[in-house]
Amino acid sequence: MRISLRILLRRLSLGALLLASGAVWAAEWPSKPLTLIVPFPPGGGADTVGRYYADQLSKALGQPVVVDNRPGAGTAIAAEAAAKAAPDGYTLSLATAGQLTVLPNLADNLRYDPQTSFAPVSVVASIPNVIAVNGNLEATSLEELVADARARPGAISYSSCGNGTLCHLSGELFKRLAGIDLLHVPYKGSAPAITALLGGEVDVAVDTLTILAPQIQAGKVRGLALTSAQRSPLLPEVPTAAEVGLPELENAGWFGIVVPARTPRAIVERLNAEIGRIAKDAQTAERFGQSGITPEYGTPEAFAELIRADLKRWGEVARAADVRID
Amino acid sequence: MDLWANLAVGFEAALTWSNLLYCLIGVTLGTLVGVLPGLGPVATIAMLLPITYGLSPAEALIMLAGIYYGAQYGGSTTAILVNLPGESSSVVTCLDGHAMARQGRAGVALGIAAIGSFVAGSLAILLVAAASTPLAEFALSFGPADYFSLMLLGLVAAVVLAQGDLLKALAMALLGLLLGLVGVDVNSGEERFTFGLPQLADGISFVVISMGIFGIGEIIANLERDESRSPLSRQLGRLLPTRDDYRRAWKPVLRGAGLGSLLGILPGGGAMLSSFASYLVEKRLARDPERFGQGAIEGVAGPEAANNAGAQTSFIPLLVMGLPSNAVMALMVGAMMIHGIVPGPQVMGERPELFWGLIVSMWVGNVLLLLLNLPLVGIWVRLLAVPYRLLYPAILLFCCIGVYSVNNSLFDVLLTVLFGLLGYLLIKLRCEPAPLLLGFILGPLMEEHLRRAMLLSRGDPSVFVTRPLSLTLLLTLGLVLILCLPRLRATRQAAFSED
Repeated sequence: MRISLRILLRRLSLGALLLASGAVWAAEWPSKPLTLIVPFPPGGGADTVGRYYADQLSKALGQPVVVDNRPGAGTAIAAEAAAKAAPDGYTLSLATAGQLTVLPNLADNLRYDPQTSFAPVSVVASIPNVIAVNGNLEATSLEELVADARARPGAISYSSCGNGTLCHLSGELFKRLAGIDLLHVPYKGSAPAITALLGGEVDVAVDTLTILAPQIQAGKVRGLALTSAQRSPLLPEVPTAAEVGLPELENAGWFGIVVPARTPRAIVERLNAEIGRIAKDAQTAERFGQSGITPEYGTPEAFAELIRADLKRWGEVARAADVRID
Repeated sequence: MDLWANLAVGFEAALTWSNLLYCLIGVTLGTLVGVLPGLGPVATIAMLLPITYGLSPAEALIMLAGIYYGAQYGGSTTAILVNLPGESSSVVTCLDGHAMARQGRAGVALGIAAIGSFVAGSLAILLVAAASTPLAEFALSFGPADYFSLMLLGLVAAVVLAQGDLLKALAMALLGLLLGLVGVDVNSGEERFTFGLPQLADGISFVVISMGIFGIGEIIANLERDESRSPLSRQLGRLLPTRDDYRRAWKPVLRGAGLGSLLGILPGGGAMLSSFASYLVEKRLARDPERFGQGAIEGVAGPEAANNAGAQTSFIPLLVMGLPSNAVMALMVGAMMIHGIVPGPQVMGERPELFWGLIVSMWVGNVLLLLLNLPLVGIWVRLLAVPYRLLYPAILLFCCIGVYSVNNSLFDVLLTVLFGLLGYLLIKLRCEPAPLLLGFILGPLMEEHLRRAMLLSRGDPSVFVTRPLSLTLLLTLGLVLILCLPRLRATRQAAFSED
């Protein structure tokens, strides 16, 4: 009893020492410029979100946050670089839903683990997907599209922004929930996938609100459903997944900030607090709103739970639809 | 008339002092990165993107656009004077442009390149202004079957019309096809020839191949020669082409402008594909194709006109539909998003001053470029006229920086060195690398479109002959083969008689 108390005391003091050193570290941090790894080349939606947060974080932390674009291998190269970085709080990574919850379900040669390689900080933004059809079809609502597809299985085609991307899995999720068969036609990115929809090469497209909203607003194609809980001010006429009777179709491409696993907890908490302030700033909502991007914020635990849930969901969809890479 | 009213709005926007200034900055920077091998517009625009936060949207877009088409002018200077493509789209300019320089006609080659680019650029901009909407719809009507037939025509024509040994040309095209297959397959998601390296999952970058084979390979080969036989001609000679030069060049310029304008609109097209296509067409149409590669002015005028026209019209899909057709246009999307402008069909109506201002600024930029490139060409030349012991390390350095900056990847730099060795080997074996590059670009596109066409037709191959566009292209292909068969036979006879 006495011995165990002594051990307990020693452990406590050790713990206090560790806590204190963590606190000292956190007090000094950041003392040099930080890096934010972005898994896409400059110019896209991920880069826009990454650069905005990098800019705002440098103002909040008093140190420059440098954006490091590391595109390639469907975001795996960036994830690997972030997983290998020193856990000292100077390397942040802009993680995407694809990187942490889709790719790990499809590829078996990844050199990172979505749940153990990183410490989640906070989700920062999300973009819902839209299901849109062109003049090839008469459907003006999702119900009509489903009825049409049931009448002629496999005859209707949909374009996605690539094999094993969120656009693709979102389309497969729709097929599964609605119990229909559509022909999947993959393209190299969103631009050619939407060109194919505009040109009538395919009949349906599943892609992000950012990409499809301008085409729907201009009346070039019809939006049938938005995969978010609320309607978007960009497309007030387009109903949500729940409104069309498929609440489980709700899904979004999200971005979040993660740091290498074993980064001191105090640093994670400081970053989380700063991200919270940035996300609640009216300027952020205004900046992202025009592109259909919603600022998001949550605790590290909530982010970890989001990663876990999406990993499970996309794993089920990928297995059911036999989607694979490699 | 609508067009004139729109152009008036454009001129009003483009001719403000600040927009003129940013246009000048853009085209000067573009010429500079064009002249320097390795550094390209993609890397430059990517680096400048954050700076544009502080500018107005019009200023930002005008400057970034200037870098892109300015690079098309600058790239030809290096190609002609040092036989290195300053820009990937000036690869074919090396062939005849440098041959002209060796004949002491470097000035004329530079002159016709600048004038041809200007004429074609102006025509293409007029086309963008007058017909962007119908042209965008024409591009939309290109289905996967039509693309496949177009690319097949291009590839077969490249092999058949290649200079020198037919067998070597075929081997080079096939090697290019194989290199193009590296990476994750779009349709099945399978990795091919990646050796498990994630850096190869997206395939080999075109910059890596062209810098390696043309840039580094050429430098190694040049080190074997002594400097006195420098391929860099110090004397430019006269700058303005003669009446005879104009007579030979005006048709290629117009054809190049037409071809470049069309190919520029297609997704994945743009400056590079246009210049290749124009060279092949000119060589085919020439009464004496053997002059090509020996300093034929048509081989400079056509491709240079085409790459500039293609650079201009590749803005059409972006401006009219909001869809980027190549990496540079994807960066322009980023620049628009920074300023809260969502690219799409609505931009033309909602922001006419931005839309028309950008178009008119492109023409203003072309005028500035003509001024920069004709009277001031001496300055750019001096940049390249430094001795080899200084110039080569500098070029290698710029190549490395340029390659690295595309993906921020050291692996790409190492790969470039490997391709440099391959390029040296090809020079030693007297294999022309142009068919290799064309195979590398067209191979993966052909496969993608072939398989997509078959997927959409549910496995019915008749789609290639029932679509009118595809049928026309395939018939043209047949015509090319029939027309060229006599030449093929002649080549083979010549080959046999050599033995």
